[in-house]
Amino acid sequence: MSQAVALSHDEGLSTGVESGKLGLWVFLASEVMFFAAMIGSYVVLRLGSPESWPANAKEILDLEMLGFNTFLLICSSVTMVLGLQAIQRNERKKTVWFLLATSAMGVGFLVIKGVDYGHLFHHPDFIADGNRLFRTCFMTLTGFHGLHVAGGVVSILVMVLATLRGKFSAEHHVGIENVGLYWHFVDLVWIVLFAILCLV
Amino acid sequence: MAQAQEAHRVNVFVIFGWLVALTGAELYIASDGVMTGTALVLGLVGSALVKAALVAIYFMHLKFEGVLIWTMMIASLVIGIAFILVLFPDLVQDGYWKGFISHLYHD
Repeated sequence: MSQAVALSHDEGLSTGVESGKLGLWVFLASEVMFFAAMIGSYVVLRLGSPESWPANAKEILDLEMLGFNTFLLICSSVTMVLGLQAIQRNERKKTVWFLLATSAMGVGFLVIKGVDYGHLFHHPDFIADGNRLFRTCFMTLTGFHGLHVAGGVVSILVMVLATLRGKFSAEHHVGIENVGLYWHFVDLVWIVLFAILCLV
Repeated sequence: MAQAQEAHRVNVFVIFGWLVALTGAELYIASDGVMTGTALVLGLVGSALVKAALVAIYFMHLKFEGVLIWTMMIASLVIGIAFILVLFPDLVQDGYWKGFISHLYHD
């Protein structure tokens, strides 16, 4: 019986990657294609209809606010890495603080995004009929990204609760590692969106 | 593995510095008159790709992953890029690319 259990355990690790982590990477691979399809649509629409993009797009978008949001997400990626390193040293208290800091920056990102949306919908050039394509691309891409950030914040808070309940240790912390991977991916997507959607 | 984790620990703040510096550079080259047209697009896309690679390799630990994960991510990236490239012949044939670039020069 124990041999059978050992055998099935080995089979589960036959890829050399922990199954939960492998599942997360498969999910991220699907997310790469999801965002690539949306970014691809944006590129094609933008190249195909340059006249639908307002000449003053950079003035309509608050680049300072968006730049600060980029900085916030980069900082949150660093605190996420520090949180993972803390649990690898079995420092649960530090882990909780780093995870809380990460989620706070995620919430900050969403609040700033909300304020930015509020400003945009009062900007006459943003809501002008001729700029419908620009508006749709911007809202779709940043909106889906925002949903991913919100999902990441909730996942991090779940990890905070699990850490407080003592479910993670230096030996077992794959949950935090997986949420960290997802969070870094969300950061990565924003880095690309910020450059090609807001600055070009 | 312990060595790999130690190396990763050393790199976190260096990578952070690079990410912030490149973001600042992006904001600078996108500001009025510094760069326009093709140079602006190439500069911003190049910088974004370098930043994305830094996050993937160092923060997502891709540097320490095996062939399986690399294959999966490269395959999905290739498919993603193919989504965009298959539509390019149509755009180039119709001269839309030139219209886009001239639009950027007029900004």
